[in-house]
Amino acid sequence: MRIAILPTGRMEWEALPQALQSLFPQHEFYSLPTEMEVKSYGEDFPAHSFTSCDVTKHSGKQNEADKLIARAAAEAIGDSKRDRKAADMVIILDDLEIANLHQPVAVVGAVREAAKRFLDQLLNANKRRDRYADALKDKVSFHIAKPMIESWLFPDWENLKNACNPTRAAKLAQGIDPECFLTNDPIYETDTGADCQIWISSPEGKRKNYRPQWIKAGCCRNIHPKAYLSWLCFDPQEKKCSHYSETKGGVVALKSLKWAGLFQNENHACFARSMIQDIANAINEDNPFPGMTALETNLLDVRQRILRNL
Amino acid sequence: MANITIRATNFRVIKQLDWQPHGVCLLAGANGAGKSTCLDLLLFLRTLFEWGHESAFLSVEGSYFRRLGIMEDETVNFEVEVENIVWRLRFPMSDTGSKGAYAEELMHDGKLILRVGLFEETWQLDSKRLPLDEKRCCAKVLWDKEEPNWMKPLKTALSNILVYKTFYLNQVQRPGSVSNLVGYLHRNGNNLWSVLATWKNAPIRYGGQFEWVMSEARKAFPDIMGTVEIDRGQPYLFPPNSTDFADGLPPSRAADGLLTGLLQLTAVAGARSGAIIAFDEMENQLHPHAIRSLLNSMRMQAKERNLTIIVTTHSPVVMNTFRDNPEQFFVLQQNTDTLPVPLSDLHDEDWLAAFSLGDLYDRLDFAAPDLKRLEN
Repeated sequence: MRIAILPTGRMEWEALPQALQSLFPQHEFYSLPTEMEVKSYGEDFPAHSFTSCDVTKHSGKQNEADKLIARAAAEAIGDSKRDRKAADMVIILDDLEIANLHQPVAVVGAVREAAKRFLDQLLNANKRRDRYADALKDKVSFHIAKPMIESWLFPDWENLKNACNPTRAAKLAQGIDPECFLTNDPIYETDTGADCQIWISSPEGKRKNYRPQWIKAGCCRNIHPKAYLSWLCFDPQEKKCSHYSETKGGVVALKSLKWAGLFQNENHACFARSMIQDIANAINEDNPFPGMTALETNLLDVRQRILRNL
Repeated sequence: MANITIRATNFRVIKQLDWQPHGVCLLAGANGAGKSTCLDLLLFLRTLFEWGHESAFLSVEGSYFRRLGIMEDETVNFEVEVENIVWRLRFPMSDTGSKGAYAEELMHDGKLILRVGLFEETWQLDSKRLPLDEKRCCAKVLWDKEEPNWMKPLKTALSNILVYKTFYLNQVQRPGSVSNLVGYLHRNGNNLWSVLATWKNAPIRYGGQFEWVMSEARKAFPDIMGTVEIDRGQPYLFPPNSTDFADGLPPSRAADGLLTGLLQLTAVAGARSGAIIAFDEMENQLHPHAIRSLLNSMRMQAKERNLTIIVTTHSPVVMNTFRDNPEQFFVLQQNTDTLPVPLSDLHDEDWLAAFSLGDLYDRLDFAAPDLKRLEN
């Protein structure tokens, strides 16, 4: 089967197909937009996220979720005249982000609204609407990285090493679910960036743009896995005071992600497990990591579904 | 008007064209793909029929008429088909101009009515041989002489082609004296105020065309457009709800977009039923709302009066308005033998429905330049 991944981060765009391929080697995974599109079109990519602010602000209005749904729907039906085969499954993956950490239901609701809007605009073309409605329900899923993709790296030190070979040891709250990320590191939580030589010495006007991730995260830094990973990979000689880069080390780490570490506790990583469960169902294979899934992205009542899983 | 089919080979950048425009249709392509050339082709055919080949060559700046790189003896060929009439033309051209008399054929119901071969000095009408007219094409000579009823669809189609490539905004902004004797907009638009004054003074004769232009302009430019008045030979534009003559602006102070909108609406209102009207890059100077509103007005008129309105564009806003009509969205696509191609032939229509057409154009899904050349 051909499974398309439509992520909103460059790290996922570059690495997730390979990571998933390692779990389901008989199947083909590819990112959207496709490498070919990016190469020849120089397209603005990856797709834009709709979760970087409180999603309830978009309520009832068109937003980036509409574009994600449209792109995924098109991939699910293919373009027969341009030799674009329909994908067998399309997974939209977005970070939940700190701004929506308290409301995954609202995020899922925003996607359902966008899917409904997409189908409503086809109301005057019933056959086409039915074709898209079936494609969305049978082939398109929406999944969440909670709170963001870096949280998947923390359960296994090897992942962090691949990401940036940290100079500091990670100290997380005891027995924590990676999707309920929480540091227990007083030095990190109070770090003002005073040791960031390059950043401190940068001109006043530029200093704000180059703020280290953990300074940018402000009071939420203890629940912000990307900010913590940046801090662990502290490098005072870097402009942003870290040698962690999503598009370099992040990609390497995600490509070779230790899935078993992420799913070692069957009650943890429920959102990530929903995605694996969904793929396993689609390709009719066993879930290699059975356990608890997130109800928000694994809607049990099939009659209510507008996408495969919502 | 019956559907018109226009065919051409070797005309400027066009290797082969086979086109049946209808309704409001759009022509998209990369720079240099041949959009303006298609409009020149329409203008050339109309002028050739109405005024003869010398005027026709002048109307499209006749040099570089033939496609570069073709064999020396290859001609530039045109064909117009309306109902059961086919009019064929072949022009022997060098790279810089005409090499001699062009060939012409007129067929009706599959029967050859008139014919003249390349470089010949006489033409054949039925069984008679006649000397060539110095100015007019043979089809026009036949029409002027006999006005045969069967030929009317061709004559009507050709005479009612209106091509607006560049409006002379500087002349619209600084008009000379406005007269009341002009019913149709010149192809550079410089008689706009005279046309509007004529229509305003004779609303019964001109079927409310002035009022239609004003009402549609108000929709496109709701905050700046009220009406136009001509006072002592000079036009003034009034904002909405104005009651004071001092509010009137001379055209030199009016927004370029407003003038462009008035020109386009006047061109459409003045066209005869069944006419073909073409606008090159209609979006120039226009706000997205104005673009959508003007296209909406054009669509209404096209439906009511059986007009064919062709717009060339690079504007995603214009393209997005064709979402429900991809069969009227024509693409001059690289590496395609016969142009233009309806977008509905290039892509699965259901797949297209998931996107804004402007977005697809923006991401180079169609009508894109050949980027492979960058690699060489």
